[in-house]
Amino acid sequence: MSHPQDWTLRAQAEALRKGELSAVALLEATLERLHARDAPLNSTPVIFDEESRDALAHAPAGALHGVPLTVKDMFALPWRAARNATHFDLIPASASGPYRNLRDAGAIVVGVANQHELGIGSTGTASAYGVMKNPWNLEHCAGGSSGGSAAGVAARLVAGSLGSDSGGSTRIPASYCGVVGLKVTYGAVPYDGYFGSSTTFSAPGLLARDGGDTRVLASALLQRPLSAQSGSGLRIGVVRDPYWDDADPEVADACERAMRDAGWHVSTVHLENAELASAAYLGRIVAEVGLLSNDLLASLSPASRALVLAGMLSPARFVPRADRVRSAIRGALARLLQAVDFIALPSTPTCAPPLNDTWVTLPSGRISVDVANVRQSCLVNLTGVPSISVPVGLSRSGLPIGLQLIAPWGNESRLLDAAEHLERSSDRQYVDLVPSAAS
Amino acid sequence: MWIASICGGGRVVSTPTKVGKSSMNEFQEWARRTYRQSGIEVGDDDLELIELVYIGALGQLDALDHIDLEKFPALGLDLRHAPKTS
Repeated sequence: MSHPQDWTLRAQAEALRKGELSAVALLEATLERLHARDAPLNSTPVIFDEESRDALAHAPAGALHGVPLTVKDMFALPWRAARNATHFDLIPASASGPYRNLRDAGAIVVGVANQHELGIGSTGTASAYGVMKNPWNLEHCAGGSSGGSAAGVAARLVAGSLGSDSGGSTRIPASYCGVVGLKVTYGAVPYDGYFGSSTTFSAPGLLARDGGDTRVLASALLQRPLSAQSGSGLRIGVVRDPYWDDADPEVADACERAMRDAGWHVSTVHLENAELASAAYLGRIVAEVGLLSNDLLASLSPASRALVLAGMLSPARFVPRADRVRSAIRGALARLLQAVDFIALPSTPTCAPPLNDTWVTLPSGRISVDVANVRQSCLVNLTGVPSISVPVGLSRSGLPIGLQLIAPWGNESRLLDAAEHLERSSDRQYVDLVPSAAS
Repeated sequence: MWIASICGGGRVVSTPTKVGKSSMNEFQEWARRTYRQSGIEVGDDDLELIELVYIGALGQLDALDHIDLEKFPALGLDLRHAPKTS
């Protein structure tokens, strides 16, 4: 019999339900694999051997009964404070809202998923726990900020992970690591005990191997059924400039091919004021920076410290202007999503960059990968709508490529329909690929 | 992942030309004073990096200074609910 972490989350849950696999056996196999295989990746720096055994003993019945998951360091747990990849307890130990929803469905938290420190980077190269690495190539970034979540799922250490997304933090690492990443609608779950509650841009995210697994997790997180429907015949809008025109041509080609193979109706659309989205996002987010202690500031990497401190100097005059633009873009996107089912764009404009060079070359020139990634992601956080990244290709250098779909408010279920349709259209070749670090 | 977008001036072509030695010192003095008022101590290396990030951010935020306020009325934001489409 193969290792149960080589199965999908659905297969694990079904085997548990049918009694073909015991929850204790699944948990012990998962803990053993985490201890044995995670060192090169550093995806899960804290493993809850005893806490997870205790949780299993008291786990309620539910769709996720006995299924092991990891949880990003932004969520407080009853036995551990949220540290946000710093050395400090930033939110005291408690049962955070998103954790409660997963726990109540029977899920077992087996470890803390590594992340970019404070959630303020898209590479995963800075963390109090150390750098996290991409299972497809250990010399490349796992992404951020939920890099440990994505790397652990891609490497078959766990079948699902709870991440978060304030500016692409679920979708970017999902794209880099070749897994599915779903950012849910803003405010759709309780935010207590969740570090993202300090901004108006953040929402929990889920990372899993395919759309079906993500659907099971999302139903538990959102506490409502997300029944599957056909994902064929969808109307897709593409906003070419800058999301497609300024992406690596290899990435854009793979994304376009995936939509063509899916048989979707793709048309070029115009999103009013899209060119102001990044500025509006930035103008507001810097005003939402929390006050950090000198000790915490001193402990950060130089880049993170500079980002936080520079944000504190940003002139306040930009805030009301950012809010006006945000309001306009929210309306414009909602109207556009009445004419098409989804907006589609490459999840990231390039594949995962090397750990030692996090600048990327786009058609417009060389640029910090964080800037490029946020530009591609922030429209979703600015407007609060749900979005998903689905693996749709591998680059010539063997790194995953993700396609991002943006849906109307509250339409997570349709995003999952689309993800599963994309997977079927490609005979599951990209979601079933196994990276070298998982073998 | 959010504030990383602040380094919007990170394009190689844009930053070095905007950072002159004299303005750096002036900026650094102001920044250090401002941080001190908040009880935050920063080192010289920090200030150089902060200035690069700050200039990059202002480069992006500049677009907000040029919006037509009549075209972008203050409608109020109800972020917990779907935006209106009409």
